[in-house]
Parts: sequence; C-alpha cells; structure tokens
Amino acid sequence: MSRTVASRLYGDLDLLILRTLQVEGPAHGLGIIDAVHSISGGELQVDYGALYRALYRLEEHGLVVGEWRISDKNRRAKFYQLTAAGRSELQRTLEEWSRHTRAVGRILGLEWKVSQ
Amino acid sequence: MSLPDCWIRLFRLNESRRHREALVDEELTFVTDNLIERFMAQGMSEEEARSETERRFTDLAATRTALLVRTERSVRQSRRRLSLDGLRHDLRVSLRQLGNRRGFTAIAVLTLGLGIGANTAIFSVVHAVLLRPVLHPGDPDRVVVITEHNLNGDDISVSYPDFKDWQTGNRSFEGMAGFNYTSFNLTGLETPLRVRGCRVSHEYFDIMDAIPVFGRFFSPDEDRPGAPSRVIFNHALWQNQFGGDPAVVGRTVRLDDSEYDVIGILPAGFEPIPREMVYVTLEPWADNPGARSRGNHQGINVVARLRGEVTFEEARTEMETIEARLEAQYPETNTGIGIYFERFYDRLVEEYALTLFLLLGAVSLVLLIACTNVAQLLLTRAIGRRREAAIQVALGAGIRRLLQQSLTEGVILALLGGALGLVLAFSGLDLIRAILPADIPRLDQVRINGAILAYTLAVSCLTGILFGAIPAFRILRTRPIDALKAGSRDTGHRKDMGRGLLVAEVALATVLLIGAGLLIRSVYQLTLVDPGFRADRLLTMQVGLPESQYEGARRSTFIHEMQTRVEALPGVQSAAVGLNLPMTGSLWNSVFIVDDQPVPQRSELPSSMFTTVTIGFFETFDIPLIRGRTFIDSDDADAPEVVIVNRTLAEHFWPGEDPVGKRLKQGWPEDDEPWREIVGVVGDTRQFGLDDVPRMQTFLPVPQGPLWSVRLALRTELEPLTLVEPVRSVIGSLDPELPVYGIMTMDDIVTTTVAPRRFTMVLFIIFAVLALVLSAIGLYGVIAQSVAERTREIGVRVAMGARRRDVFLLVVRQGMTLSLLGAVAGVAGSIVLTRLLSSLLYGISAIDPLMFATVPALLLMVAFIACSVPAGAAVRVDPLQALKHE
Repeated sequence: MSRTVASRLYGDLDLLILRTLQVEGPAHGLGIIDAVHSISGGELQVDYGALYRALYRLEEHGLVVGEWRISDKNRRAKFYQLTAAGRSELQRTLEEWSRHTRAVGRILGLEWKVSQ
Repeated sequence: MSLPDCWIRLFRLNESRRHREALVDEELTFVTDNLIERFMAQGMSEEEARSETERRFTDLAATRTALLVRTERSVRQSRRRLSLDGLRHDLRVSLRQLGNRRGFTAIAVLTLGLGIGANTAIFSVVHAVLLRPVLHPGDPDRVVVITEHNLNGDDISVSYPDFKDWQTGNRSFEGMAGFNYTSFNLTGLETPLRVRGCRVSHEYFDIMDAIPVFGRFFSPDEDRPGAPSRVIFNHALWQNQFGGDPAVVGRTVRLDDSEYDVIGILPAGFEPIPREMVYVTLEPWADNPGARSRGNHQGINVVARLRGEVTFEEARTEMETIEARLEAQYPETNTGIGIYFERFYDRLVEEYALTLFLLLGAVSLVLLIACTNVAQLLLTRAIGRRREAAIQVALGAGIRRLLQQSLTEGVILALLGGALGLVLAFSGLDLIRAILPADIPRLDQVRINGAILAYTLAVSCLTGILFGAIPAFRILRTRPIDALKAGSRDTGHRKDMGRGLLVAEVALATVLLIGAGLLIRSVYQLTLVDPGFRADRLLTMQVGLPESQYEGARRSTFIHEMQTRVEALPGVQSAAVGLNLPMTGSLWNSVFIVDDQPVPQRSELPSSMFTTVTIGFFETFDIPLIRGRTFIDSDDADAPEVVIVNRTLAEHFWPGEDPVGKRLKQGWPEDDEPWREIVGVVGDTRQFGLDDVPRMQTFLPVPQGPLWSVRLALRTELEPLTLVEPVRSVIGSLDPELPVYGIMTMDDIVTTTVAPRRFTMVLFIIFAVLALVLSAIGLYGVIAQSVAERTREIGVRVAMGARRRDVFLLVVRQGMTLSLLGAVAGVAGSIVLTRLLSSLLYGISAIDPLMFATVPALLLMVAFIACSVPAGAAVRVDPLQALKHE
C-alpha cells in the first residue's frame, strides 16, 4: 500500500492514535480520546475535531481501517483498528522517536526511558 | 426499489455519496450524543452540554466538511486501484479463455476480420477520394468553380465577355481565372504525342495555391494577345516524357504548329486525375472573333478564390446579381442564362460521392451482421457459463466487474478481428484499385495510412463494446440464486435476445440482397439496350490533325487518303472518320432553325448535336438509313450544303412526314450560316452511354463541316487490336508528325460507360453474399443451440410417438419463423432504403415487386437449408439417451 505524502506521521496526534490502538485494541473515536485522557493522567486534552481529522487521514493512507460495529451501549459506531502497514509504521516511528529523544536528552543532560 | 435491481448493482447506488455522507454524520452524532449525555450526567443543562461539546470540536462544521472530503478522496483512490488491477486481471483471463477455445475464437476473429476488413477497404477509398482535402496548402474551401447554364439547366461553360465582366465586376474574390481544356500535338519528341492541355489565366496557379517545382508560373504580360508563347508542364508529363530533368525548363517545344518556351513544372498531384498535361495562357487564344461574341460559350470555366472575410453564400449572391445584371443588359445573348456556383472539390467528386457513401453504408451493414453473429456466439457461451458467473457474484465479485470482463473480451476479439481486417484490406487494395472505375479522382492515393488505421481501431473498439455488452446485459439479468439451482433452465429472456439478433441479421441481409438484385438487373438491362449501331469488332482511335497545317481542301484530301488506305488494309471491312463517334459524347452542340416552321423565341430554340462524318460512316457503324441517302462524293466543298439528320430530329419537326428536302440552318437565326438541305434520315444512336436519352443529331459531310478532332473507326474481320500497328504505319506514312492516340475498341468504350454501375454492382453482390452466408451461419447456430437444449424434450416426444417428420418440422418451423420475420422486416426496410439507389438503377424501379418477392423467397430457401442440418441431427436423437440428458 502506498501513501502519496511523506511517509512521516503528521505529528504527535497520529503517533498517539496508533499507539493507543496498538495497546487498547480496536476502538471508536470517543474511546481513543478517553484512553489517551486516562493514560496520560488527565494531562492531555485532545481536540475532538483534530482527532477525527487525524483518524480519517490515517484511514485514507491505509494505516488504520474502520469498521461499523455495535458499541457497548447497543448503538452503531465505527471502530478503528491498526492495519499491518500501520503496525510497521508505528514501530518504525517509535524507534526513531526514542532515538531522537535520547539524543536530545543527552544534549540536555536528561535521561529518558521509553517503555516498550 | 423503484429502479430495476441490476441497475442499482451496476451503478453502486447503495454506495452513493449521500450514503457516505450519512455515515460521517452518524459517526459524529455518536460522539456528540455521547458527550452531551456525559455532560448532562455531570449536571449541565442540555443547552450547556451542547455548547460544551461543540467547544471540544473547535469547529464542528469545518471538521464535518474535512471528513467528507477525505472520505471522497479515499473512495476515489481505492476505486482507481481496483479498476486498474481489475483491468490487468481481465486481460489475462480473457486471453486465456480465448486461447482455450480456439475454434470459437477463430470463427469470431475470422467473421470480424471480414467485416472490418471490408469496411477498412471501402473507407480508405472514401477517405482518399472524398474526405482528404485537395492537395493544396491553404483552405480548399475558399476555391469555387463558376460556370453558366442555359434554361434547360445544361452546363454550357462561360462566354468570354461574361468572364471578363465577372472579373472586373466582382468584389468577393481575391482572384478569378478562366480555364479551358483542350489538347495539343506535342512534337519534337521520339514519337509525336497528343497531350491534354489547359489554357489558363495567369492568376490560375495563384488561386490554386500551387508552387512550382522548378521555374515559375505565368506573368500578366504573358497572358496577353501576341505575347511570347510559354508553356508549363505538369509533373506527370515532366516525369514520363522528359525524365524529370530540370534542364527542361528553358527548352522550346512545339505544340501543334507553334513554338513554346517551357517556363515551369507543377508539383505532383496538382491534378486529381494523374494525366500528362500542358498549360498555356488563355488570352492569346481568346483573342478571336468567335470568343468575343457574348452568346458563344466556347468552353471556358471559371475558378476563383474567396476574399478573406467573404462567405460562400455572400459570394454566390454577388455572382448571381452580376449575372442577372448581364441578362438585363444583353437580352439577346444572356436571356435564361444562369450560373452554377460550387466549391472546387465538390464539383470534382459529386459524381462519386453518392456511390461511395452508399457503399460505405452497405459495408457497414455487413459489419453489423458480423457483429450480430459474434454477439450470438458470445451470448451462447455466456449462458453456458451462467453458473460460473453466478458463483462469482455470490462470492463478491461486483456486477460491474463481470461487465468489465465481458467488454474486455469483446474488445480483444474485435481488435484481433481488426488486425486481421487490416491485413485483408491491405492485400486486397490492389484488387480494389483494379476494379474501381478509372476516372475516380485520386485513385492512386488510395492506401492504408494513419487515418485509416485510426478508423479501423475505432471501428474495432466500437464493435467490441457493442457485442461485448450484449452478453454482459444478459448476465446482469441473471439472478444469481436462480442460476445456482441444479438443472436450472434458462429463462425466456435470452431466447428473445438471441432470436431478436437473428431477425435483425436476416433483415439486413435481405436489404443487401435486394439492393444487389436491383443493381444486377440494371446492369443486365443496360447490356440489352440497342445502342443504334453494331459495336463488335470495331476499332477506334484519334488522330491529332492540327487545323493550322491542314485546312480546307488539304484536310479533305488527307482524310480521304487516310480512309482509302486504311480500308485497303487486309482484314479491314470498312473505315470512316467523324468528329464524333457513337458512344463518345458530343463535341459540338448548337441551336438551329428549320426553314418551314416559325422561328421560336431565343430561349426556346431547339438544340442538336452536330458532327462531321465521311462517306461510308453509317455503313461502317451499321446505322440504319431510314429515308433518303447517305453522303456521296458529289457532296463536296463546291456543292450545295447538305445534312443528314437522325430519327429523333425528324420526328420532332416533321412527324409522319418525309423531311428529305427540308432545310435547316445551324446557329442563331441572325448568324451568317448557309441553309443546308436534308438528304437523309438515319436511326438514333446513343452518344452518352447506354442509358442515354434520345437526342437530336445532325451530320455534315467532311468537305462541308469542321473537323478539329479526327476520330477514325474501322470494322475489322479479325480481332480489332491486331490492326493497330498497320493503321499506325499507314498514318505515319502519310505524315509522321501526327500522333495517334486513344486507341480503344468500341466494345471497350461501351464497357467503360457501364463501368461505374458495374463496379457498384460487384461490390454489392460481394456484400450481399457475405451477409447471406453470415446470416445462414447465425441461423444454424441459433437452431443448433435450440436443438441441444431441447434434446430432452425431443426425446420425450419421440418416446411418446412423434414421428421423424414431426420432429424435423418442429425444429425447422422455429428457424423458418424467425427467417420469415427477418425477411418481412428486410422488405419493409428495403422499401425505404432502395430509394437511395435510384440514381444507379436502369430499367427497374427501386421498389420492383418481382425483386421484392423473389429475393425473400431465395433467402428462405437458404434459411431452410441452414435449418435442416440441425433438424436432421434432431431427428437422429436416440430417445433413451435424450431422456438421460440434462
């Protein structure tokens, strides 16, 4: 599957979405926001509009795929999950990200650990 | 659903944009509803909850739009990807399938090859002759030809004073030139040559946008009486007679009795019909008393180029106004004279345009029939594979994909057929050129070129889509569940389509057959026509006798001497000379008056063909003498003027009486012409072809009439062409500088006049036979298929006591009913369409009842044969085997 734009993720939001889906499994948009909110301990407040735009962009580029299911409240919702391409792109970006932050950390004199 | 099921599936209406929009809304609603619930659970009012939710979205409306845009983009991308993959897949599948069933593929490709090949061949002719613009740079639409006509509508060319007035009086043209065709003796070469010539105004080449290959064209100074004589050669003459040597420019040659300097060479293809030609200036020739007379139309035609902004219609209107003004100014000469105003190229091809387009139409019908056959083949196969298709659909292949596959297969078959057709057309091109009438313009330029290839490609693709779509639509109608049931029978739909195609085929074939039949009969009727003389073993030729060297007595002596010596040759029964021979048109038409009847109005003066002939003319041609006598020796230059007239003229003025002794005067009433006494009446002869109408003709004896063109005819005992050389030497011995040309037997001349019709007839026959054969094959296919399907039913019938004859009739009846329907449709179509042929028909009406009855009968006989083969197979069905058959 090819992506027509630069293969770098568009920033933190994309990374967060993919990581959340990897850890939590398939979720709908609201679910992703809730997960981010709770894992970050309330620190990260995501703009819903930005999130949905990011989700659709990821879907267009084939990194996630959407599927309509019945939610826990017995309503229909679109659940997103990672595709194989999404998984590999996530892995690549994570590695790069941790290399990047380690380097910065060394310059700034900080230690930074990334949990796997 | 209001629309039929298949349409919805085809166009994916269930995946429409509206649907996708609804999905986006649903997702957003899910989130917003949830959030509102949460906020309300936290104690906010609904209002507050709603506005809080919207705040979390920054700009809900913009988000919604952005999501919609992305959705559409995704969909487009995935579709594109799918369809490209699909196409590649279809190609592979189609090629493999076609390779597996080689028999089927071969028949289909061959059928299409014939159909497309015939179309390509005809189109290449139409293209070269009619569609390609004239070989002149610059817009050929801006060049027009203007000529004058009399009250009867006859084209009488333009009189010189009228031409001059047009030249000075017009404002629509940037140039206007006169041209006059003639011929010359070109001497100074190895053998004296008779060449066609054209006298032109100096503006002529400019108007025709020509550029000399060598040298130059005429200057205005050279286009004046008394100017130095200059000549321009055309390309063919330069190549053939002078070896393409550029040094020819500047040389001097002799035309008739004068010397001309060669000043230029024209580019190749300047004339539409490749003939050797010379061009000289017009004015020196026009400087004679005859030309100065306004009522004398000596064969000048006018060509002109429209000025920049002037339209065709505006120019026509101006010329008609000028002509009307001349009519008012000069009533004695110009009353009833009008103009014909045409584009140059239209005038050239108008004779052939209709025929060629008719042929294109006919050959397209053949192609349609070929397509129908292939469609049936594909249809049959599609039905056979309907279970396969149903499974594919059940497994998720879209209907659209099946359609695409079907079309791909169709187009591949058609392209293969087109390739074969190109090869056939290419190899048949020489044959086509050979059978085309020789005076179709630009015959030498008929070839396969880029435009033809494009046409073939387009035709192939169209036909491929056409018959690829038919089985595809059949597939669309299939309800998958029905097809999957074991032992399922096919619904009536397919049968209707297959039968409908067959009826259409038979109808088309009927139309072509009737057309061919009408043409065959026309040509046959023509050959039965009595031309008024005996045409067999008659050799004719022309001798270039320049008037300036041979005048008056000298000419008569020469003619007499030539005639005597030729007659003395072994194998020659008799010989004669005339200005015109039968079947060779007329060089001299004139008005005349008779002495014992009142002189009619100027515009109503009778007109007759005039010709000058030697003694023995009528005997040589075996033209019957009805009254009086033929010419004798005493009808010489000093004797009283005498004429012989033909039956039509005699009956017109003196019905039932004896015209011998009456007198007529050639020319206008005021002309200074002698009264000539009628001494004999002869039978009519056809002058302009076997289908010519009866015309008035007047004969003068050689010593008393003009003979600017000498045609020699001799009746031979042996094969006429064996006498060509002996006659040549006789003439050569009298004067070695005289060219002898235009050698043809009278039989050949007659054949040439029939040639255009015959050509059309031959092609129509070929197309009609093709159509018949294809239809018979199609019919056989349909009936055979039907028998195969009904094997079980037949078995049951036989087991229940049906006799062989009953089975036979059962099968045949089905086929004959279809054929009858097709024949009836064809007859109905013919009633409308054969009208288009009427200008080519002779002696038979376009809706001749006999033809319309016999052709369908013939067709039904052939249909019967085509049906009886599978019917015979049906008869031999073993009931036991049949009942086990699925």
